[in-house]
Amino acid sequence: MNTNHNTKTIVYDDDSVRKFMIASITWGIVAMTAGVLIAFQLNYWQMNGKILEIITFGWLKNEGIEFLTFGRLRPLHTNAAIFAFVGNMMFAGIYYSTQRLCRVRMASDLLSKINFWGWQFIILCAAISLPAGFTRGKEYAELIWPINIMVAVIWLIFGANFFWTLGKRNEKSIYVGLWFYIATIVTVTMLYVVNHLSIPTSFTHSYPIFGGVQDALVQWWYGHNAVAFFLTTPMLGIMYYFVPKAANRPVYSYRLSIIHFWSLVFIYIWAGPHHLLNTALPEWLQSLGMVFSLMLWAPSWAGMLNGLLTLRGAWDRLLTDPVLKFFAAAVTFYGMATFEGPLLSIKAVNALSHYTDWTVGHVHSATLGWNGFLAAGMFYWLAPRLWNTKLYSNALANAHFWLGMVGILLYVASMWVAGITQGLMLSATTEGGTLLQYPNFLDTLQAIRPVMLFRAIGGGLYLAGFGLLAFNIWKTARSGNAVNGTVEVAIDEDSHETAGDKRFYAFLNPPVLYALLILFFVLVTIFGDGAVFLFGIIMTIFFCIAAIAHFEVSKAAWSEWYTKLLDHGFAFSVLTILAAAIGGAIQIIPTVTVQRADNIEGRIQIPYTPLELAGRDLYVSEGCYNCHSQMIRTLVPEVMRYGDYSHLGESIYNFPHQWGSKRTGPDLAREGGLRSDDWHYWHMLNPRDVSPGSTMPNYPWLFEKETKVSQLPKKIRIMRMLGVPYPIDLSEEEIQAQVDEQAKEIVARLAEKGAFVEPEKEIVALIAYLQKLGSYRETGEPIEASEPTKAVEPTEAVEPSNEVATAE
Amino acid sequence: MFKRIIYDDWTSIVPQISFWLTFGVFLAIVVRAIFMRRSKVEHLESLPLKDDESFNSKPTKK
Repeated sequence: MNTNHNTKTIVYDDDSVRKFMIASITWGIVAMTAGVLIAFQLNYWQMNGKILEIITFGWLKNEGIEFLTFGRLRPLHTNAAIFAFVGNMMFAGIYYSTQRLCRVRMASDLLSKINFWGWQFIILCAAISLPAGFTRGKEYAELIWPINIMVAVIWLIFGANFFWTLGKRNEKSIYVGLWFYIATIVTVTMLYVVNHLSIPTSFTHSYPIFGGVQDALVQWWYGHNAVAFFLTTPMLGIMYYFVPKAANRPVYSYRLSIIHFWSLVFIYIWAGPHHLLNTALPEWLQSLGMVFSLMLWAPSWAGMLNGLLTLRGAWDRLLTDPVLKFFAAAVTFYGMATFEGPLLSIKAVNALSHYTDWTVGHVHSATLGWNGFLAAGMFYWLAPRLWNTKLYSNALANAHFWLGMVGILLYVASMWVAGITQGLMLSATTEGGTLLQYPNFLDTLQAIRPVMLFRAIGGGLYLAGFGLLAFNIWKTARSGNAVNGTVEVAIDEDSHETAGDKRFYAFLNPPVLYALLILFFVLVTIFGDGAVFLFGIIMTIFFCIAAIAHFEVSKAAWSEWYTKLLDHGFAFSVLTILAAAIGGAIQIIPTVTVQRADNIEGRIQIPYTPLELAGRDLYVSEGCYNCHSQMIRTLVPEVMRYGDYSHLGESIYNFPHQWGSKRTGPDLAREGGLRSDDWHYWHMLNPRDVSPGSTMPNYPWLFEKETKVSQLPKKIRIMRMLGVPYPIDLSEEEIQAQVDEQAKEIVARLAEKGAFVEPEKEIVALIAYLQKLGSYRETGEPIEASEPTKAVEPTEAVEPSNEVATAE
Repeated sequence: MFKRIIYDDWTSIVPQISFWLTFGVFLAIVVRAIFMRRSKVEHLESLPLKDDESFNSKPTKK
């Protein structure tokens, strides 16, 4: 075949790279500032708004501001760090490197602009909606459904632009960095869509279609893989491009990078259940989560070593080059975090670490050390090239490095100490293991407060370092001119003409066809009975033998197949999504089809009354799950502290589940009836009145705002659609009557104790919900026969947390 | 009863199947990576290092 070569000048779109970089730095400062604020809130409850009254000498009089509570700001912090800071950094890195690796400008300037401005608009919406209390109540998936749709649309636009660029590329081969970008785009799409499937009840509220254990599994399949495919795979793609660039030498082992990619993509997706160890999640899923997490050690360290060894021969430059310094530290933190992750996934270790600050420390060592330092290295490398100048100050960059490093180490070490201390205290027993040594949860919280303060200081140092980066980049940009890279590229016109045929060949070839046929007949064997089962076995064996025979005859052609596949972006993407999807499918499909309320044996949750449902929505809206779990694990100390372990059926009607991932306060799974209505009343007004030493915010607005009863008929209708057994003929009037009746009962009980409130106020609905927690009936027992949970009389008005629980 | 049989089987078998499946994928990729042509590897690893780029003094549209 004759080829026709012409040259063409390509001007890269570096304007988009600059914009994403500036956005990442700006939002990074917002995310980290929010992080430092909420870290201080965990030590000083006054930081939830009261501080404004103090510093304005009483002018801004308040007992707490609803927009500033930990429960609302923590989702803002995590979403800003993940989607705004790392997300924009990821786009900057991908836009820059993809154009260079494909030797072509991004396919569409318009799509690039929509990608940038659409993403910033989404972040702005999140920054407004999350403090306002609009949330889906699922970690890292809090954004409300209209924003979810915008995220999906913008992400698809980004994907279309990327794959279009890939299709137009002037470099035939696809570098491994681009593989990681492909994995990011296809897998994040799958994860995001499945975990955000919801039924709207209003413009700002929806219920997820999965509830209880199903929701927990889907959530952590998403949550864990958001870490994997949003915070790791794009970073690895960036590492494989920018580290060789900065070190000016090729990656240590390209072969190792291939093994790294496929192992990581295949294994990562299975590990989600390690967030739910020792819970009511079925045992086989927990085992899978643990086994695959441990197997992740191998590919993760392969990548880490590949990145570090790429710096071979350039170690001396680490002393003078801040870019390499940041990259070396980032890759080292990647290794540390990916060592710690599997360690925390071992069930016995997880029994101690889960729900404590140890996990928080682990997450931050990865985000601040791996993502944050990689971002810094990339920005310092990019800025002089994007503005055609020198970096303003190497000294400032070095100062940033050491401030950030000390900040991270202080943060992570504090969290290790806090997590292990609290974990050990919570499970410590005395009297031969028959009594808890620290029955009052608050004793364990007080013990770690000094180290929690160090965490806040560490975060502050990291933020200060990042401030230096912002200043340095700003001064660098001011000293130069914005430029776009240009390159002369040889255009192979004939290669474009035959690309379609090659793409077709990537699918229609013997290895793929045999694999599909064998897979099909294996499935026939698994799901078929009698003659179908026999037919499946025979055909599976036949095609296995046929494939081996065919391979023996045409070895050379078969071995070319994989090499050719690597040059076909579309076929490669399909293979990637198959590798990533199989783990999720094997875990989620059986859980969704089998673990339903219809199949529950033993305990099953009693559905909420309308008022309790309204209270639950308030609980979700206030972000209480950020500090309180609703899952008593199958561990003796937990049962001694909180009561019988949580059964799978006891949260089966919870849309969304509220099992939680952190206990800054005690578990609430069996809170119902544990304390009196007036205890909750005073506790929500000022937690320190009944729990001295508590760091929980005050919630005075719950005593002023009215419960939105008008939304309940629609909400209950949707709950019925989701399988919650509400009566089919519940009219709006009946719902209102039920709300009124239950609210009046609660208000009357409160009044007897000297706590006065109107029945329409939100606090009444919240108390109704809290008193329902832990209510269940045995399957087979009619709902009407179940005893509703009764509020108990408190032994004293001021009773520290959990002493009642322990006594029981 | 039916449900319990399914659960018990999955608990014991699934981690084993998963491991061998992963091991199979891993082995296949290792074999492919090892037998990749040297020239192909050298070409791929040199892709980020191409240094023939110049800069426009002003951002230019396509």
